[in-house]
Amino acid sequence: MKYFAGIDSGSTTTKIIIVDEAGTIMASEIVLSGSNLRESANSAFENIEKRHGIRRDQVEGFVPTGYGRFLLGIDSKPISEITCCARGSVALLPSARTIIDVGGQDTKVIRIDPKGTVRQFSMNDKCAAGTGKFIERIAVSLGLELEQMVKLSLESSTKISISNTCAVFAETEVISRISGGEDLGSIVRGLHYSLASRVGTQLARLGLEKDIFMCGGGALNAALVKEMSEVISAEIARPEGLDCRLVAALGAALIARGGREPVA
Amino acid sequence: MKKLECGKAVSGALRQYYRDIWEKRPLAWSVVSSNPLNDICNLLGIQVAYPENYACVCAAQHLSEKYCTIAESNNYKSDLCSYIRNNFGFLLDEGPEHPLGGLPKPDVVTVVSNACLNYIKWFDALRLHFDVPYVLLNTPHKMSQNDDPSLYVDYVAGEIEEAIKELEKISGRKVTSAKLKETAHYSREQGKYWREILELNKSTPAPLNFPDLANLIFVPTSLSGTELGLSLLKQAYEEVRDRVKNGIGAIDDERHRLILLNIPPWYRLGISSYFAEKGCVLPFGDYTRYVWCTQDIDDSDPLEHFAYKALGMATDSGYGSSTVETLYGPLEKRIEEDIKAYNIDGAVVQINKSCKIMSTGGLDIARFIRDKMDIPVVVLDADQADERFYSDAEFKQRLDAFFDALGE
Repeated sequence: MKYFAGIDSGSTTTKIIIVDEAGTIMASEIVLSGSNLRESANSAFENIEKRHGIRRDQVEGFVPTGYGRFLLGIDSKPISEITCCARGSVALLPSARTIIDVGGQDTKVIRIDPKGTVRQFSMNDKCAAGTGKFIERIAVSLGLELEQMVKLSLESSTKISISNTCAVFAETEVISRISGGEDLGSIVRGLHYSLASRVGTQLARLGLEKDIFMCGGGALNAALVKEMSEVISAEIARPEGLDCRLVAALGAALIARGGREPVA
Repeated sequence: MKKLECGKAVSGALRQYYRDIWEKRPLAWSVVSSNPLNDICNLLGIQVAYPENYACVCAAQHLSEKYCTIAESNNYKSDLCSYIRNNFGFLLDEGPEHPLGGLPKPDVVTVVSNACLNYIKWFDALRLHFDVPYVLLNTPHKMSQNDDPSLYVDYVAGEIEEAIKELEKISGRKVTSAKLKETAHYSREQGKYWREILELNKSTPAPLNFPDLANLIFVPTSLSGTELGLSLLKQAYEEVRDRVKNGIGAIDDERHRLILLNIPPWYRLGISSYFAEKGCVLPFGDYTRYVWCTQDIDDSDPLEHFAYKALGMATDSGYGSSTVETLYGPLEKRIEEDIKAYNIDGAVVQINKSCKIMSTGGLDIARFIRDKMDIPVVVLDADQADERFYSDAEFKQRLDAFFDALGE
C-alpha cells in the first residue's frame, strides 16, 4: 500500500495525517510544537509508527505546511497553509466556499471556488486579539480550563462587551470586571463574542459566500462557533469525524498524493 | 535579476551626493515630496540632504530598531512615522558610527506642506534642535476641479518668491531669471524621461523591476532640477528602451506581472528575489507612478512651473499624485487603466503602519482590485522603516498562498 503524509507545523501544535492512494485517512497525530519543530515532527511520526504501524520510510510523498514548513528538513516542496487548508476543507465539505481557520497564531478567512482553488484570502492583522490565543490567554489568567470557558459561555444568556483591540488590554478589563462583581459567565461569553466580532470584520472585508466551513483549533470551541454564527447570521459547518486542527494537514496529504490539482 | 548598467552611474551619483553633503556648504535638510525648494537650492549651490532618504538607508542597514527605540525613549511616540523616529533616533544616538557617515548639521531646514502632514512639525522640531532658519513653502491642501487654479498658482508662486529671498540670503547668491528658466527646464525634462521609462515598462517582459525603479527614483527626487539628474534619467531611458527593443526582461522567466501599492519595507527589498523566483515582476506601483513627475508641466514661466509642481501633491485632477487626494474615485480609475495597460495579473497591497496617507483606503483599493478587476490580491502588514513591525514568516505565509492563487 502507498502512503502519503501531510505535516502541518503550526505555532502551537504539529499535525500529521497519512492517507492512502484512495485518499482515505489511515493515521493522524497531533503533538505540541515546542521549540524544535523538526523534533516535534519526528516525534509525531514515531507515534504514528507505534499506534498505526506505518513507518516513515513507507511514505512515498510528503508535503510540509504551516509556519514551520521550511524548517522540518523534509526534502519536499513546502505548500502554504492557506492552500492546504482549502484543499482539506473542500475534501471534507465539497460545497464549502468560505473557510474560517482560527489558529493559535493567526486567523485566516479563505474564499475558494467550486474546485477548491483559493480565490482570495485575508489574515488577521498583527494582534493576538484576533486569534485563538485571545481566549487561551484569558483562560490561563482566570485559572479555567478551556472546556470550562466554553461551558460558561454557552450557558450564559447575557454577555458583557469586552474590548477586542488588544489581548493584553482585554485581560486587564476582564480582571477589572471580575473585581467589579460582574457575572463570570457574561464576561466569558463577552470574550467569545469579542473574538467572533473581530473575525466577523475580517469576513465582511472579504465577502461571505456559503457554505461556510470552520477549522483550526478555534473550531473546537463550540462557544466561539455559536457566537461567530450569530455575528455573521449564517450556519457554520465543522469537520465531522476529524479533529478540526487536522484540516490543513489533510489538505497537504492529499496534495502529496495527487499533486496540487484541486478536486473536480 | 538583471541590473541596469546605468545603475552604476546612479550609485556613483548617490555616493558623490553623500560626499557632497559633508563637503559642500551651505547645507539644507529638506523633504523630497515634489518640492521645488530643492530645485531652487540646487540652483543656488545649497547642498540638500534628505532625512527621509537617510531613514531608508538606516532601515536598509537594519538600524531602524535601534534608532526608533532611541527616539521612543526620548518621548517620540511609537505612533509617529518611522522616518521621523529613525531621524531623531539617529540625531540622539551617541554611538560613533552611522550609515554612510551620517548627516551633518544643516544651515537651514526647508519644507513644503503639500503632502505628508507630519512634515511641518517634523521640520519645526529640527529647526528647534539645530537652531537654524526654517523655510516653509505653504501650499493649499485641496484644490478641487471647480476652483480657479490661477488663484492657487499665484499664491504658491508668491510663496516660492518669498522662499527664494530667504534661500538667497543663506547662499549669498542670486537667482537669475536665466538660471531659474534652466532649472525649470531640467525639472520638466526629468519628468518626461521618468514617465517615458514607466511607459516602456508596460512592455512584456518588463525591462525594470521594482528595485530598479526604487533605485532610479533617487534621481528625480534628490537631483531635481539638475543637469546631472537629467543626464542620468536620459541614460536610463536609453538603456531601458534598448532592453525593450531586444526583449530583455528585468527577471528571468517572467510569468506574472504585479502592481505594488504603498511604500515598501526598505529593510526587506531583497523580498523582490522571492517574487522573482516565482516568476513575478513588479513593473509599477503607486509609489513610483502616482507620486512624482505624474504630468508634463509647462516651463515657459518657471515660477508657475514650480508652483504647479508643488501643487501637484494637492490636486485631485491635474498634476497629482498622492493617494490621499485621489483615493475616492480618480485613483480607482487610474489603477483600473494601469492594471490593463501594464497587463497586471495580481496585486500586492501593503498596509504601512507609518504612512497614514499612503495606507488610508488601502483596503478599499484592495477590494476594488479583487472585485472589479478579478485578480488575486495579497494584503501585507508592515512598516516602511521600522523593522519591528515585520514578520518574515507571516509575509511568506501570505505570499505563498498568493502565489498559489496566481497559478504557475
